[in-house]
Amino acid sequence: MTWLPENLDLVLRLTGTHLMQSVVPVVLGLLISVPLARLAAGSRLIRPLMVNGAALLYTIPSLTLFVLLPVVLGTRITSIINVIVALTIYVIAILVRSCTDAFAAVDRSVLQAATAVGYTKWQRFWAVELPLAVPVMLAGVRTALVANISMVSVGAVIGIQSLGTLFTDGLRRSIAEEILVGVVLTVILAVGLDQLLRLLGLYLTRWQRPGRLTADSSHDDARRTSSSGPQPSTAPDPDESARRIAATGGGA
Amino acid sequence: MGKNAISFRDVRKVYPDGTTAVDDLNLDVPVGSLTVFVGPSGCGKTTSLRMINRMVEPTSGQIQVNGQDVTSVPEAALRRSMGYVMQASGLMPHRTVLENISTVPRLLGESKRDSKRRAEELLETIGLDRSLGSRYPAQLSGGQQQRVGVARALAADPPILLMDEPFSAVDPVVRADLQNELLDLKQRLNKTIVFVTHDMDEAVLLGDRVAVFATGGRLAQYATPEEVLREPADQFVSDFVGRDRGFRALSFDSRDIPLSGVLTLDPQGRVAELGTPTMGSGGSGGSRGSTAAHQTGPSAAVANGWTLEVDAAGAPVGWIPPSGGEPAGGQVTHRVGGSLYRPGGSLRQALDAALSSPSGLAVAVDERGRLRGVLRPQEIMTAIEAARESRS
Repeated sequence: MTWLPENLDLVLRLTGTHLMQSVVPVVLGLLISVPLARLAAGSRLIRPLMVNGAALLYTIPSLTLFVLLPVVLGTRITSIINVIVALTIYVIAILVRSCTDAFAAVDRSVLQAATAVGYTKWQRFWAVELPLAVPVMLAGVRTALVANISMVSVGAVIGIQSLGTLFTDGLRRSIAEEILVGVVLTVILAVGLDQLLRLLGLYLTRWQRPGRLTADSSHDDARRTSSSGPQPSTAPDPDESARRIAATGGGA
Repeated sequence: MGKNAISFRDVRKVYPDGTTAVDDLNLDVPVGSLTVFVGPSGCGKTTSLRMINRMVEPTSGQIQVNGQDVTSVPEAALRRSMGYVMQASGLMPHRTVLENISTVPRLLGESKRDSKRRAEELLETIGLDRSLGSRYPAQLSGGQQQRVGVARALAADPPILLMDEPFSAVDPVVRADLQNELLDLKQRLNKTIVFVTHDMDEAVLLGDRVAVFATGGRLAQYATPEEVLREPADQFVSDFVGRDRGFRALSFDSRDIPLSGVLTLDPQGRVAELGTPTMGSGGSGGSRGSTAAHQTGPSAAVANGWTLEVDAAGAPVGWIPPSGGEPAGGQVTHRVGGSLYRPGGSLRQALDAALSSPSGLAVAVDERGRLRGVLRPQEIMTAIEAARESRS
C-alpha cells in the first residue's frame, strides 16, 4: 500500500476532473431538457417525436462520440469538452423522457386552479408546474448522474483525464492498487452523489409525505382522515421510473 | 340591488365538434346576490361560470362584469379580481395552507408578511384553527381543504366569488356545515356569488335566485327558489325539480301552529304533563330569528299514550311507546325521536318533524333545544292549508 500515499495529488486532481465531467453535463442537460420536455408534455403531436428522438440519441456509442466530436467541434481529441458535450447528449436522452413524464403527471385540476386564481402561464410554470414535476424529474436526474460517473471513465481510453486514467495507467503498468483506487473512488462518487440527490429530493417533496405531521394534532375534527385529499399518487413512483430508465439505458 | 354585477348578453358557446354548451344565454346577476346555476350534467352551467373569468371564451355574445366587457381586461388580472372555488379544492399540494390562502394577494404584489397576517385572520373566518396554517393540503380532511379553498378565494377581498360545485365532493354532514357557513359568510361579507351545483336542494337552500339550465345549454328558468318550486316554467324544470317539490316548497312558509301538551319522563323517573305555550313564528315568510313565545294557557295533553323522555335540561331524548314503556328490568326503553321543530321553522320542518316522529307528533323545542310541546299532524295540515289560501 504505497501507491496511493505517493500519488495522492494525482488522485485528487483526477477525482476533481471526473466530478466536473459528470456533473456539468447533468446541469447542462437539465437546462436543455426541461424546456423541451415542457413543450413535449403540452402537445400530443410533439411528444412522441421528442421522446423517441431523445431515446435514439442514447443508442450512439460513447466512444464514437468522443472520437467524432473533436472533428465537429474543432477541439483537441483529449479535451474534456468532448466528454462534457457527449455526456450532455446522453443526459438529454434520459431526461427529455423523464421530464416529459414528470410534467405530464402533474395534476390537471391543480393547473386549472392555478390558472383560475390568476397565475399567468409563465408564473404558473415556475410556481406550480416545475415544483410539482420535481419528484419524477429527480428520478431521471439520479439515473443520468450515476450513468455519467461510469461513462466518464471511457474517455480515458483515448487519453482524456479522469478516474478512468487510473484503470488504463494501472493496467499498462500492472499496478493493482492503482486500479483498485480507481474503482473504489468511482463507486464512492456514484453512491455519494446519488444519496445527495435523494436527500435533496426528500427536501423538495416534503409536501408529499403527509404522515409526519398528522399524529400531533389535538385540533383536528373527528371527520379528519389523513388519506383524503390530493395524494400525489397519480405520479409514477420516482424510484420505479428510475429503475425503468436504468434498465433501458446503456450507450456506453 | 338594482345594479348588475355580471351580465350575459346573447352568449353562445359551441365547441369545435359541434356540441352547443351554452345556447343564447341572457342573464343578469344582481350585485350582492347569491345566484345558483343548477342543472343536470352537460347543461352548460359550469361553462357559463367559467366564461365569467374567461377560463372559457364564448363563441359569440358578450359578458360584462360591472358593466365592463370582460375581454377588455387581461385574463390574469380579471381572474385575480374574482374569487374562485372549485370542486376538488384545487389547492397547491406543495404549498402550506397559509401560502395557499396568500396566493392571490401575493400575485397582486402584496408583501409576504401582510398577506400571511391576512391569511391567518381568514383561517379563523372560515372556522379553522390557526395551527393548521403550516400544514400541507394532503394533511387536511376534505372538508378542511374546501374551507381553505374558500379562504383562498376570499383573500384578496374580491367583490365577486365564483364557486364551481364547491361542496359536491364532501360528505353530507360536512356539506351541510359548509353550506350554512357560506350563508353566514355571505351575510357578513356582502359579496356577489355565483354558485354552480347539480343539486336542487343545495340551489334552493343557498340561492337568492336560481338559474335552471336544461340540456343543450338552454336557460329554462331564472327566478327565486320559491318560484322555481311552485311554478316551474316548463316540463323540464318540473321534472328536474323532482316529484316532492310540493313538499320542498313548504320550506318557504312558516306559520303559527298551536302547540299541544305531552306526557314527559325526566331522568329522575318523574312523569309530568308539559304545559303548552304557543310558539310565535311570525306568519308566512316571516323572520327566521328568535321570537318570544307567549303563554296562551295549557291545553290538554295529547292522549295517544306516547311519553316523551327528556334529559335534565329538558331536551327531548326519545319516545316511549304506550305499552312497552316499563319492561321487567325497570329499564325504560325509548325510541329515537325524529327531526325537531324550532321556533320560526318552516312548515316543511314542522311536517317533517311529525312524519319522522315515532309517535306521529312533531316535537317542538326552543332555541336552546328544550322541549316546548308537540304539534299534532292535523294542526300542521291546517297551517299548510292556511298558507296556501293566503297565497292565492
